[in-house]
Amino acid sequence: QLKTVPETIGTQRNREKVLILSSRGITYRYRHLMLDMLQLLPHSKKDSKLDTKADRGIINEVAEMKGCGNVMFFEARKKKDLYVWLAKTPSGPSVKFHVANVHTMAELKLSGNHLKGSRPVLSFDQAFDEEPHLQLLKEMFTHTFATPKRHQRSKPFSDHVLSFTCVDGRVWLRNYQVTLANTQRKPSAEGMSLVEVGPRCCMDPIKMFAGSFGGPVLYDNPAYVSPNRIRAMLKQKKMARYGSKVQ
Amino acid sequence: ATGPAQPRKQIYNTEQLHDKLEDIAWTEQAEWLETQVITSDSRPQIDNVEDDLTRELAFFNQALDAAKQAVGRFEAAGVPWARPPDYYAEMVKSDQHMSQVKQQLVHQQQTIEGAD
Repeated sequence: QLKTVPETIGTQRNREKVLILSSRGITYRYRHLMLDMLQLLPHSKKDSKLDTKADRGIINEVAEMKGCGNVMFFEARKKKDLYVWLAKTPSGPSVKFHVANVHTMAELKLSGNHLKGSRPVLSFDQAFDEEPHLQLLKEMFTHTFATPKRHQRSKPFSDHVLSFTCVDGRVWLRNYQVTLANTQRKPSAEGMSLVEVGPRCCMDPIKMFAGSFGGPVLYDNPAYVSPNRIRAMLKQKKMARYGSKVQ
Repeated sequence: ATGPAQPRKQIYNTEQLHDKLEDIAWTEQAEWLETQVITSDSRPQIDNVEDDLTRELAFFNQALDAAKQAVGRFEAAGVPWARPPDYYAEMVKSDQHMSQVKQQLVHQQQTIEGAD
């Protein structure tokens, strides 16, 4: 049985583990995004695709078997829409995001590179300290993305920054390599620059739940419009244009 | 999905959000080196999200600022953070991939020069 209180409270150490899995019907781009996340999180474990679409509660059992307290679940719909669930198991909370503007590490225009398993610096913008739902998101992102110190698969250096910025009600994720000026013998912040490594994506929070993959709703984003709705509206616009031509 | 758009009901349960945060939070009590979180003290100046250049620049500046602050903290704690030049290990992108990236950059440079 997993403890509901993480062991970290007493010793105040980071012992988080993350389970990463997807639903069936995930497309190649989203699968690559998932694999990038696995690369970035040395404290993560992968599991096979989830067969069922209806019963997400089963993920809690998988996480318990794998000894993970965090879950990142990639849910693909209609072979084109991606939803990502971020959950604390077994007792919540959980968030459902709609993810758009996905670019993976494999893209050639993102030219940075960094050590596999080096511990990232996590950068949040000020908004994450100001609004209650963003505070909760920040805590969950930290649990998921901060690599535990001295993790066996981590490397003890920091050569990249994972940045989270809240703009337009959405959270934008970027990953940058830190490059140092060659001229100095001793590494320092002087002349430091960044090169983007990827992946990048934009996560639109839809709902936050008190439980893990369910339970009372804590937050519902009023500005969220589902991609289905957007497609339907575009279609209707086209229909109206055709109608005006025919008359 | 053809009917008129139903406005979504806003739910914002501040009290429960705080409760849940208290339930799971440990990062505040932990040593900074456990999480390496830097929260900037300003909001990004982005007037139009669709404007890629300003948006990416704002993200870049936020991250760079965080990186510099982090280095300050590493140095204050006396923790080595930079990879020694003779430390070789697996990277997130393979050598083959990086050579492709390089080729692409060279190719771009050449097309620019060719156009001049």
